[in-house]
Amino acid sequence: MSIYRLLLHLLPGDRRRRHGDQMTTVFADLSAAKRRESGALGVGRLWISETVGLLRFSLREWSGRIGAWLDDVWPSRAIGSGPRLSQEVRGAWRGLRSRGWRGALVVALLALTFAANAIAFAAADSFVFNRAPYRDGRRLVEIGEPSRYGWRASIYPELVPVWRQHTDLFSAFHGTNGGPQAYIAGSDMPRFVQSQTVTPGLFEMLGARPLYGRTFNDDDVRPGATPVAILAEEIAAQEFSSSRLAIGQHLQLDSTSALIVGVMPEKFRFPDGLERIWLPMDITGFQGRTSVTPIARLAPGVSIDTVSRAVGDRAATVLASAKPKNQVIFGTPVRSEARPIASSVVDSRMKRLFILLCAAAGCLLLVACANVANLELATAVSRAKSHAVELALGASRGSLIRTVLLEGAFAIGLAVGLAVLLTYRMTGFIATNLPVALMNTLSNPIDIDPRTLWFMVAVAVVTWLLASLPVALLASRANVLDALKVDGRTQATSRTGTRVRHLLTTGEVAMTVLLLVGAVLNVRTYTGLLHLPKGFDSTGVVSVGVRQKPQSGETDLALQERLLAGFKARPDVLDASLSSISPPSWNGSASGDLSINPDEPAQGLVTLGFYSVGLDYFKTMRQPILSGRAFQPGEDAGAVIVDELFAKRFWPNGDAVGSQFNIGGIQLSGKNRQVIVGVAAHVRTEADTATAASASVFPLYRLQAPTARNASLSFVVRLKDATRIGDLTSMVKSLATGARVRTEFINTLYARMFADELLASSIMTAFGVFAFIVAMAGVYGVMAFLVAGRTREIGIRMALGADRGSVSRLVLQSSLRPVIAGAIIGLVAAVAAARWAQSLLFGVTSTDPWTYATVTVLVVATAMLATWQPARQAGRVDPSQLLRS
Amino acid sequence: MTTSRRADAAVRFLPLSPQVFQILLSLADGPRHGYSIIADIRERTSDEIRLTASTLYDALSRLVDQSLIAELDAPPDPADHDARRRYYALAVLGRDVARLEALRLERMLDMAREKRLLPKTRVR
Repeated sequence: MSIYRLLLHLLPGDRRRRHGDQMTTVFADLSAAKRRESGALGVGRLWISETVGLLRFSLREWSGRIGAWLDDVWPSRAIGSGPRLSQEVRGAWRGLRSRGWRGALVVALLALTFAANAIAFAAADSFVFNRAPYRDGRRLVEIGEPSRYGWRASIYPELVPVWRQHTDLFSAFHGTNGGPQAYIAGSDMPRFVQSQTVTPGLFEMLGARPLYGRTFNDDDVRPGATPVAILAEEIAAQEFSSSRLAIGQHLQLDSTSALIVGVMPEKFRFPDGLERIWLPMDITGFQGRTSVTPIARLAPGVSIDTVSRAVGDRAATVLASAKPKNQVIFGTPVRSEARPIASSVVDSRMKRLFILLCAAAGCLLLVACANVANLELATAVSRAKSHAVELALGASRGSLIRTVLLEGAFAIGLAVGLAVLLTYRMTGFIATNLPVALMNTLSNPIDIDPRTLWFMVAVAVVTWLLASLPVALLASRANVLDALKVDGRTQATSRTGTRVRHLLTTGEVAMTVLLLVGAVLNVRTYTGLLHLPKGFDSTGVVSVGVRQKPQSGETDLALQERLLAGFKARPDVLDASLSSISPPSWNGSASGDLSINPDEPAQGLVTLGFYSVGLDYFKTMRQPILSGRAFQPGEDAGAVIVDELFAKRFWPNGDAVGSQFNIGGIQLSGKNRQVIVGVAAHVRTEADTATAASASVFPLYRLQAPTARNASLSFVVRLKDATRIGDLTSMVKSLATGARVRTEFINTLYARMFADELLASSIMTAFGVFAFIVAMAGVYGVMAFLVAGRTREIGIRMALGADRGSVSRLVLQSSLRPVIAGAIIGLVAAVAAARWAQSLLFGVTSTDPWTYATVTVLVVATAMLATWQPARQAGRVDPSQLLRS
Repeated sequence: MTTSRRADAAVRFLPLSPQVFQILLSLADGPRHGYSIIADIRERTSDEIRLTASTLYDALSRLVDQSLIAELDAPPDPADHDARRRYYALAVLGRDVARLEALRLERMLDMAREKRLLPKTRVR
């Protein structure tokens, strides 16, 4: 019979209480009779029919109840007893307006949260889900081959027309490649902008339309045609005051000038965020280049796997039919395959980071929801009396609930509108302020598209339900007599009301602790990374980049000597040297098998990142030469200084100095073999991770050969004062008229390597602080409200002999309980989240006790402060006055 | 309440399902508890209509809600006292409904006789 009793739980509670016992008795009698009549088989049949009957009974009961509830909340118009919908809408609107600053606060809070969520989603959508920002971007593919250097999407230009004939695979096939840089003098900051060459029709394949003018056509690549260019909107605006006026103007490129025929919208990016000028590429008369990157659109109905296999199968035939001129450079691309563009742009670590940011935005949303629900409850409770009067005057509960829900919908609707505006503003700001390293490697800017807007609407609906339902429930349960008998505040302190408020507070505090722990761990990771040893003394070292205006008429050599002399003559400069680039980047590299002795097998695959340096480089950088010597005047072109780790790996006996090597059969500085003259201490570069130096990528130092080329110059300068670059920039500008000058502390360059960590810690900190303020304001509000509601109870306690201290303690204790519960839940959640994100942390463990202790103390102490005032107020209650009133 | 009004109130419930009609018939003799209703129906219908505990109480709860029957606070005969059992009695409205249903069924039978599906005189 216990099973039967369990089954009875299918019924609604009141029915079960009313009939449960009798049903059990009757069923027991029936079973006994059945057993006598037809044995166990009969009892089995009885069980089956009874269970079916019970299911039907409970189904009928529940559906009846839901129907009745729906009729109550949304009666059919035909009955027409309650107020009309339009009246309810007006009532809801009046209700929202009557809230004044509280209503505005709710709307502002929600708008900020929605905007934060939408931006986090937009970023994740671009960075994590790799949404290519082109029409039907999933059907765009790159053709290439996996090599031991990674994915190489390049083919011989001659192959493009051949692949175009494979219309069963591709509906369009185009090539693209890097182009020359253009000098943009506009605004106060002259700069060089990277261009990209594309075959005519590529824009149409991407589904991109120009803002003004036109895209490229076949006439643009005919022999003798006028050179043309398409600019990005912001570049056109910078150079020609208005982007519309740019059409028909001329743009100076490296050696030629091009007629501007089109302007692309600012949001358009191809292939990355770096390229803002596009030039037409003539694939048939292609000269001087060895490869192009092929991009194609899949033919309708063909899957990417089919195309990938077919490309692999047909690659050899295509190669044979085209007979390219430069076959020696790449191996035969028989392993060719197709991959969707914009895939594998972000590594798994970055994906994890963005998922984390989305989760943080979600937490923020929950905090805001809890807070809004709390505020709404306060409003609803203080309006309980008016609700009760409305009920007494004949308004239906359904109508009350509808008004509450509509009021919530108005507030949320306003917040969504505001959030859309905020998001547009903020994405613009973020896109321009995101670390260059992050934006330029991606073809996907963070932008607001229909997906993001739909996401925001979904978030808004969830918020609406979360924030309005508790209030709607309260309104639906409001007891007319109770509400009229007692004042509204006392009702707020009813057991259910208090429990709901405490639950909301617990949730808010838990989320805040979670976000704050995330923020602290991120900030500690970032500062830990900034203090990683660099391998040289970076204090006061400035990297100076000078790029001359095209056709300035002066050679590098003359300018270089003038500038070096200028630096060294300054009293605030300790040392200065030429250097093609400053660490952590390098300028060009060579990859291949290292051979030490031509007769011996190769030693392994390495990549050497080049630093072309001046004579005083090592002295300026304070980078120790561990063995051998620094460069001397009149050095042989083949002389190199190698990195300590490189020397250790290939010359473990320490006899690297004097040895010779070659990499991948490549000639460096016109020499087949490089001679090691010195071994320099290892300097951390971009190839190294925070925890380990790269085992295959090493810096290689060569003496910078004076050239007569008109290009860019760079220097490293060590200043006496490590905090101010001062007028170094203006000195360089006065020595090199019209040149673009860039001066930056090397420490800044290193810090930029950790752009992702900076981004994560800034966003997490912003979210954490925001959640903290919101949650603590919420704690204060709830406590003040509860204390106000318990005034009478406190008065009675004091009349019965309780002193002020004990009353204050009592209030403090009861109000801190949900805060402490929230802190514990938050800590547990934070440990779990930090463990998942362990790979994103550096220099701090996921269970760092210091972090957890600080955050807990901060939150609990602030919550105590927030409850202190209400608790003190409780102690000041005058019982005699209160009881008389 | 006048007779016509009572008829109006009762006619809303027609037609009755065979189970509900049988339950009302069972209670026509006097108050009964759940198991006794099931046993009576089984006996009268020769096992044709078999109710289970859930189908019985599904119907009983609706009949109580519709005021066709009433739940008694105490058994009609104090000697029958059994704390586990609840007795149900036919309400005035329930009796009206059962009578109207019987008349309705009789009219149906008459129609069948008119069409010679059944002999004109009742055979016992």
